[in-house]
Amino acid sequence: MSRDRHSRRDFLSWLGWFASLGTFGGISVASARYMVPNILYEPPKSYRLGKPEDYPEGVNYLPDRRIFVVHKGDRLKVISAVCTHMGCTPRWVEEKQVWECPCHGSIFNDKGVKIAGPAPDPLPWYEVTLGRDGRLFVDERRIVPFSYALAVKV
Amino acid sequence: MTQRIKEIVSQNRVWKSIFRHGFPVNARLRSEVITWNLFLHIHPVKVYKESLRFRKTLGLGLISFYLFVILTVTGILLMFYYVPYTERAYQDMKDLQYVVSFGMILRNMHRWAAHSMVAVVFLHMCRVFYTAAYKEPREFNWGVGVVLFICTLFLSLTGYLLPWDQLAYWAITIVTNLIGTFPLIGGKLKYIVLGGTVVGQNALIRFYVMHVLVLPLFAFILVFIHFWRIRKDGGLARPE
Repeated sequence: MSRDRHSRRDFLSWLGWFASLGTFGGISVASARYMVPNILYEPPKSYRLGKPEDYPEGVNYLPDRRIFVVHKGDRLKVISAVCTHMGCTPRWVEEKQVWECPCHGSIFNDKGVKIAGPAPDPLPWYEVTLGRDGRLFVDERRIVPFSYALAVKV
Repeated sequence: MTQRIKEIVSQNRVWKSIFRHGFPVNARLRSEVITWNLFLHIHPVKVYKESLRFRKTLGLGLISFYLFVILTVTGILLMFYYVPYTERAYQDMKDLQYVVSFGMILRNMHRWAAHSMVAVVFLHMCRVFYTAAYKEPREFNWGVGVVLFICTLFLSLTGYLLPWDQLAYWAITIVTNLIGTFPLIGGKLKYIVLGGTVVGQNALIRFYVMHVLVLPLFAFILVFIHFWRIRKDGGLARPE
């Protein structure tokens, strides 16, 4: 038998390192994965609101949902109230017909397009449809262009 | 008379078991008081006179440590009344201020010490820099100090959310949105920091655990190393 380059001692040492590094490596990876939540108890991204007549003409702010329900004539739209810069709530200024964000001064026109300030993107319009129960259904996962609107008879 | 008292106090088994050395009546026994004590022996037996000059250091490192101690003690006391649950966190904070005995001063001390500590550790860092006390062999300790500074900032950030008021909520909304802009991993990082997509209960408990346990433990260990290093390097940096 030829002389082995590694002794039994070397093998056991290697086994020991493999076991300990494997254990601690495994624990580390498991701990890191543990920190990423799998289920969130957060408000759903699609939900029902009230009936169209519950939202008067103009821009209506819904603080719980952080959206604006924009009701113009017989057209109804829903736009996000989360500034695309850092997440503050822009305020609708009726006289100037714009949304102004108090945090860093971003201004969005009545189409949701940014006209001033550091915000990188326009405020997204969300899809709003009418349910069979006559209530509005908003789906925040679906972003729609400004031309989209829900026709309502009020 | 005093001699008799000293004898009674120190010549018995209880004293000898705790202190092991005699009453400090000479230089050797005085140094033994320091060296035989776990907490006191962080100090050397002798110090260089120039290290004690106030104008040299303004005692900023000492003040930082003192503020850390104040924050720890007031923080632990605050923990007896504060629950990191979104439905009661703000009310608990208000209770601490207006209902709990001495709650107002404890909460205020904690908040003031927190803001002061950020300023003081920054000034301490400036002092170390401008007196060139980071030079060989103190480079590692400077590094430890920088990590401690970052630790202080994170402690400040995580603590800021806990009152769960408007200031807290929006500050953390903005900061986590900033984190979200980090290239490649930003979105995932924000998800892990918040424990979700919104600043809610998950975020509150994560920030709480970081603030009262993980970061203080980390800071404590680093402070220990930081002090240990100064002793090992022969005390505060002196001109050659």
